[in-house]
Amino acid sequence: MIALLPAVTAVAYFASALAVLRRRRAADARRAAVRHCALISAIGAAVTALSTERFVPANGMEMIPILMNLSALVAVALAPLATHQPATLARMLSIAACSQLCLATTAPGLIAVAWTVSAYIAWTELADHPEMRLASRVFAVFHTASSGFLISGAAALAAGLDVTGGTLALIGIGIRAAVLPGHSWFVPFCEVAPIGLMVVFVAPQLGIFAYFATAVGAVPHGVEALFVAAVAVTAIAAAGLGLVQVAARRAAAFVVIGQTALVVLGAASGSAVARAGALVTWQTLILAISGFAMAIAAAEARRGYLTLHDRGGGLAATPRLAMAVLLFGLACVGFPLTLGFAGEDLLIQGARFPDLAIIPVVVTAANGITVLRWFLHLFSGAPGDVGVRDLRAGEVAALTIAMALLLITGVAPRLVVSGIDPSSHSKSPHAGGLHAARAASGSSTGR
Amino acid sequence: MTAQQLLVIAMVALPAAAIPAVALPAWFGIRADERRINAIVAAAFGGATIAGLLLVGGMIASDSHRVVVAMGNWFEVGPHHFPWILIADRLSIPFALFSALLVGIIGAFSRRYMHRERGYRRFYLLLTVFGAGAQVVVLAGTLDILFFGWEVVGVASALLIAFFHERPNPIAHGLRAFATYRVCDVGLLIGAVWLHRSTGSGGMVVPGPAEAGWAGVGGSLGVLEATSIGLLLLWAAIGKSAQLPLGGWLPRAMEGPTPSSAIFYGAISVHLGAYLLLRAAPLLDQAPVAALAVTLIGAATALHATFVGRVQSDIKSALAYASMTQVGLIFVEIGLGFRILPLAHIVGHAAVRSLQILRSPSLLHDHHQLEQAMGRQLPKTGGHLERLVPTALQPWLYRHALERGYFDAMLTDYAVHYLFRGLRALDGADQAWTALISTAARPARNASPTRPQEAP
Repeated sequence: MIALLPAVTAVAYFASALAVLRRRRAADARRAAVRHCALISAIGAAVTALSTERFVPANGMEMIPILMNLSALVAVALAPLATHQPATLARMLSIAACSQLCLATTAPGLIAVAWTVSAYIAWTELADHPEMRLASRVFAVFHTASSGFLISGAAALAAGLDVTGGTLALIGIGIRAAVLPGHSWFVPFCEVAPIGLMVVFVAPQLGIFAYFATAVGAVPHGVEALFVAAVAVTAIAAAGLGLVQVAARRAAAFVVIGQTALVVLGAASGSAVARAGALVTWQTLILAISGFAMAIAAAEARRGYLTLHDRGGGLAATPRLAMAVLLFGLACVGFPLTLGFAGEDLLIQGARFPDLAIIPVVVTAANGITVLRWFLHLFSGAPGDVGVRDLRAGEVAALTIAMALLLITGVAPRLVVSGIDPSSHSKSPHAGGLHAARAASGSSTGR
Repeated sequence: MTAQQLLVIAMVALPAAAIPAVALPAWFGIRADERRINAIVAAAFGGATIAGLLLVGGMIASDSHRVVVAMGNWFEVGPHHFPWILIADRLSIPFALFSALLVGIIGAFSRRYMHRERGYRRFYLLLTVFGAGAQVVVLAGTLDILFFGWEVVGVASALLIAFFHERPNPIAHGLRAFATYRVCDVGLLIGAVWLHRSTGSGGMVVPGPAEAGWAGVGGSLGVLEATSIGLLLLWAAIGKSAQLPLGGWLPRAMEGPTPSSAIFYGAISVHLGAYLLLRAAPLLDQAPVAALAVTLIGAATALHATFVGRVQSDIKSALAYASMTQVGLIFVEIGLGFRILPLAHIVGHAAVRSLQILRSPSLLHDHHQLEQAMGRQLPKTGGHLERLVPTALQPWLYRHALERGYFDAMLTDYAVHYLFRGLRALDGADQAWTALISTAARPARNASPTRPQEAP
């Protein structure tokens, strides 16, 4: 079945990409991209509000297309002109289109194709710049593997080989989600890629959707346990590594890896409550990562590459930018008053106690320290740069929408949580054989 | 919903409503007007205080011991639900009333103290966030809601320590406080989860209508479970209340503006750990080992802080250690099974210490005035320790106190240093592995940052 809204949205994004590519000046291209994204977001929100199941993904994922639209809007609205030429903006819109295409279907083959195309487009951006050669090589190695596994898995699922297909798909998903040992592409990518492109590629967290569509309930216990262990180690290692980073982008990358791993952990842990937590946290991270990363991009555009040694007094000169970095950063780590708090609560309460439940607690604690450390270092100090301007009106508007959603749903999480059926997503549409065998034997992976 | 329940809600809702009232104009670039900001904060906390007083009057008139406000589930998924419950009883009402009153007084005091200070609005926003968070902690009817407010208080506290961000020390000390909070908050969250698994909910056990005690964390738990959860909550309390061995952040926290130091580290924030333990009293009653740990930690902290406080050369550090001493004694009282005594101790200590910290910038001026009035130097105080401690031991104790008991050094040089060293080694290995994959040369170590390849 095709969810019409994401499918139509994908076509709109591709058309927008073509229109943006024709612009010569980066400013014109960005202006056009912002207008298109705003229009797509508005229409998408209106259709979702009025829609039936035919138009949007179901079972708690109704908001995902809208959130991805907002993520793209934030990314293009805050994209620094110096590093986001028309070609880069066009690639961003194309990647957004591929993300919507993934959501439009639960057919593993189509998901795999959209997945591969989005990775290819991101790689072309890296390959176009000689100074990004190293990152592009690593990216190519890992995403070729990821796409290869996912395509093979899709083929196996289509042939009725649930276990083989689910396992192959799971490996491919793990690489894209930066699960150890498939994580090595992520940090170099975040370090060198234009941040807007990084956001549209990473923030949608397509691995979660792909997991629910292909692998959940389709892999044997042993494989699942191994995967959960790898994700758990990834989360803890990333949280620790984030604490010792000196470069802002690297620190942000490790925070994203850690929080993404928690979402994957919740999805894979087998418990209905944890899966619901994964869905809620996924939705939070789409917006929070977008806002956090693009606020850092805005700071970088004004002050250059950011490290711990830079104390440019941004709090006095750019207070709204500082507030954006802090709020979105805290939203990433499940701070109260944001939707992430409800998501973290569900992840922790639904996890197997004590081993898996302790992991989200420790990881969010460490990531919270990283976020505040970076906020205080980036924005403290006597005002140095005269004439550094705070957020533009367009930047404020885009961030306001994203932040408002995070805060409103943070105060009223029921708006998001009530749409989640706890019994859903326990198995993918293609995991019939193994799931039935488990049900017949009475064994279960979760509560 | 009854009038009393509405008053309880007002004690939380009014401060919470002040947050967007102060923050939104800042976000939309509306110029800060000191009077308007002050009026909002005064109205919020003044209103919360009045609501508290009316509540107390109503409860006395109706001879009720507690008001429980169950506002339904904040969200629910399958078997898990997050109920939003507030409890006003003999423990929370004095705390909540005192907190609201004190935040209001500090807000009024700061109107002149912070007048034309850069960051005036930021100060009041953080003060409001802190005050709202403290009300949530104190009136929480479940450990989950208590954790909600606990986190809010922690962030506001750290950001106020780092208020004078032009200097590097406030930043470092704010981070230190926040890191301590986060490390210790792990105990509170794990304790809450464990409680959920053991009792089916994170809610507090509310005594019957005829009983005079207050609601508390506990329920029918085995000794081992009660002890484990009790120790986890103690770990959380150690961080928030600056007890050994993690109390080093407290004197450093005095970098913040004096009004916030008064309210955080003299009055409210530093006592929240003790408040948590008072709420966990039923648990401590079932877990003698945990109660003993509370007593020993408190006693050790009180001893440590009383000696270290005596060698401080600035008044705010001395008052910080004095706070630590008193909170340590409060822990001892709780561990020994007292319930009303520590509550009275908290309120009295909070009032006196806040006043002392607010007056501390005028210390020298006050001393001069007193000496002029007396016509001689002020008499020396605190000599009883010199009589009690053997003379041979005094130099050692003096050096030990100067080094703050070596706890900070041990934490930094051993725990943190080796942990970070291991993490940096792991980071280096990860970067080397990545370089190997890309068939490039080994990168430089992360300690000397080099800009990576960038887009044009």
